[in-house]
Amino acid sequence: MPPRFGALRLIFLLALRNVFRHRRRSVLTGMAIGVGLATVIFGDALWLGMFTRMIRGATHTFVGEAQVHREGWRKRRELEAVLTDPAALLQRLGADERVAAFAPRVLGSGMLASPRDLRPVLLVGVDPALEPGVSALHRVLAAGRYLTEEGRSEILLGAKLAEDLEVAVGDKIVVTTARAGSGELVQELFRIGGVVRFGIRQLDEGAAFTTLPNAQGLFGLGEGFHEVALRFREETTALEVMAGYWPTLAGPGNEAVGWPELLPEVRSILELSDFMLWIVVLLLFGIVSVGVMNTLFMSIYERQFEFGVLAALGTSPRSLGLLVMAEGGWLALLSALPGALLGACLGWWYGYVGIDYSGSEFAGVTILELIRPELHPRQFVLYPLALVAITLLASAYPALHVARRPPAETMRRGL
Amino acid sequence: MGNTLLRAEGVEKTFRSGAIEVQALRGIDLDLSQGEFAALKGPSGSGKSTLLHLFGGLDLPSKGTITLGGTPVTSMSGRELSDFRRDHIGFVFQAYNLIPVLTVTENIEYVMMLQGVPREERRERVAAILAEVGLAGLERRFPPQLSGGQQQRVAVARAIVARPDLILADEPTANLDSLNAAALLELMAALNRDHKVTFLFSTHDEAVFAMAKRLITLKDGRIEADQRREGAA
Repeated sequence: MPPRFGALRLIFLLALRNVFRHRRRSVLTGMAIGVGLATVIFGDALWLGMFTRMIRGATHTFVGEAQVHREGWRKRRELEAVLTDPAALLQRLGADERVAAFAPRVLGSGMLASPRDLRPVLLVGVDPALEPGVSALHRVLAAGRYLTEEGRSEILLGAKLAEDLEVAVGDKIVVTTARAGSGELVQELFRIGGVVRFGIRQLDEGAAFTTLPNAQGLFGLGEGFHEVALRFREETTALEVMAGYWPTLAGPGNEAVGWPELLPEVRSILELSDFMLWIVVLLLFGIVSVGVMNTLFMSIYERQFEFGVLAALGTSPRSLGLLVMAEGGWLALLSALPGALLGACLGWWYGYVGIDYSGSEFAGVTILELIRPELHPRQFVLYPLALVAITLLASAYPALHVARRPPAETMRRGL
Repeated sequence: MGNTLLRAEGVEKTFRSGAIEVQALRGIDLDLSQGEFAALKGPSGSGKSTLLHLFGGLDLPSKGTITLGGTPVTSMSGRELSDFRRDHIGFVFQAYNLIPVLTVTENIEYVMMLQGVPREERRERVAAILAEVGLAGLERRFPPQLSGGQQQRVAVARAIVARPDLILADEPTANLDSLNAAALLELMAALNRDHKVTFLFSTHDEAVFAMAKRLITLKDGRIEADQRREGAA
C-alpha cells in the first residue's frame, strides 16, 4: 500500500529539513549540482550560437540556404543543363512568402590568362542587384568595386587567384570558355573590377565573378541559368522536411535542395558536435550524481540510529527509501534554480559581449561574426529535468540501502 | 493476571558475524498481560535489548514464536512488521529518540500521520498528551531546544499518543539526572495506572526496579527470575 498523503507530506517535509541540517555540506553539494547545470546550459547555448554562426557562415557567404537546379545538374554539372522554365521559376520564388531573397547564377569552367600566368577557374555569372540578398559577394571586396549591371566586361577575382595571376584592379585579363552545345571556344577580354576575399579557399583560389549577361554570353546560354540560390525568412525552413514544398518550389524538371544536402560536411560536423555535447552532458551529470550519492551516504551514516527510530515508529522500508530519494530530489531542485540562473547569466553576458573567433575556418566554413551563445527555453526545461532525474537515480542506491537494512541491525551496528 | 497481551514461546536469537556465532537469547518463554508495568533486568549482554527488539518487531527470532494479542509477529513480512509497530507498539529509547528537524508537535504527530489520523483529531490528541506530560506551550520547539528530561517526556508522549498495546522502553532514564528520571518514571507509572498502558522496560536503573510491578531477570540469554510484586508503581 503506498504511504498516505499526510505521511507523504511529512516525508517530503522531513527530507527538506534534512537537506538544511548540514548547511555547509548541502551548499557544497548544491554548488556542484548548480555549477554542473550552469555549465551544461551555457555549453548548449555556446554550441547553439556556434552552430548558428557556422550555418550562417556556410550559407550566407555564398551557397545560400537552399538552391534550385535542373535535375541531375549537381552530379554532372553539364553546361547545357539550365533550369527549365526559368521565368516562371523566378516569378514563383518572388511570390513565395517563405523566400526572403533569391539570386540566379550561371556556373561554368573557364581559363583565365594574365600576361604572367594562367589558371583554370569556376566562372560565376551573378545578378548584381539580386546577389547581395543571398551571398556576401558585395561585402567581401578586398579591393576595387562590386559588379554593376552596366559593367560590361568587368570581372571580380578571388584574392589568391589574383595573386597567382599577378594582376590587380584595373588590369586586363583574357577569359576562355567553351560554349554550351557546340563546345566552341570563346575568348573575351575583361577588366578586373575588384578582388574578393571570402576566407574560403576554393572561392579565393579558383573563382571569378561577372554579371549574369556576361556569363550567359560567354557560355552561349541565352537567357538560361544553372542555379538559383535562396535565403528564407526563417532559417529553419531549409531544415524542415516538406515533401510537397520543395518540388512545388522548383517546378517540373528542376530540384530544390536545402543546405544540409548542399553542405554535407557541415551537417556531419554539426551532428558530431551534437553527439559530443551529449557526451559532455552525461559526463558532467555523472560526476554530479556520484557527488550526490556520496553526500547522501554520508548523511545516512550519520543518522543511522534515527533511521532505526523512524522504522521503530512504523515507517515502512519503502517510505524510508522515499525519504532518502526525496532528500536527493530536494537537493537537485534547490540547486537547479540558482544553477539555471547562473547558466542564463553566463549565456546572456557572453551573448552580449560575444566570443571572437572571427576569421577562423572550421570544416571549410569561415566564422565571420562573433560567436554569441544562444539561450533557448529547451535548455531550461530539458537539462534541469534531466538533472533532477539523474539525481533521483543516484539517490536510489542509498535509498535501497536504507530500505533493505533490518531496523534492529541499524540500531545495533549502524547502516 | 489474565488478558495475555504478549506471549513468547521458545524464543532464541543467534547473531552471526562471519564464522562467529553469538547466542543472545536461549529459549525465552514469557507472557505479558494487559496493563503490566514490568522491567527486564540483567547485566550488559544478557539479552535485554535483543528481547525488546524482538517483542517490538524490530527483529525476528532465530527460533520460537512471539504473538501479540493473538497475532503471530514472527511470521510477518517486513511491510507487515512496519504496520504492526505503527499500530501496536510504542518505543522509548535511551537517547536520540526524537527527530531533530521536526517540532515537538510534529514528532508526536508522526505515528498518527502514518496511521492516517485526521489532522483535527491529531491536534486534539497532541494538545491533550502535552498537557498530560507537562509540556504544554512547547509545541513549536525543536528537540535541541529542549532539556534531556523534556525530550524523554516528548518521546513518552509520542509513544502513547497513537494508543499502542505495548510500550517498550529501552533504558529510558539512563541519560537523565535523578530528578528528571524520577519525574519521567512517575509519568509512566501514572499513565499505566490511569490509562492501563502496558510498559516493558529494559534497564539498569534501581528506581525503575523499585517501581516495577514485575521484575524479570535475564542472565546469559535466559530468564533467571520472574518476580511479581504487589504495591509497586
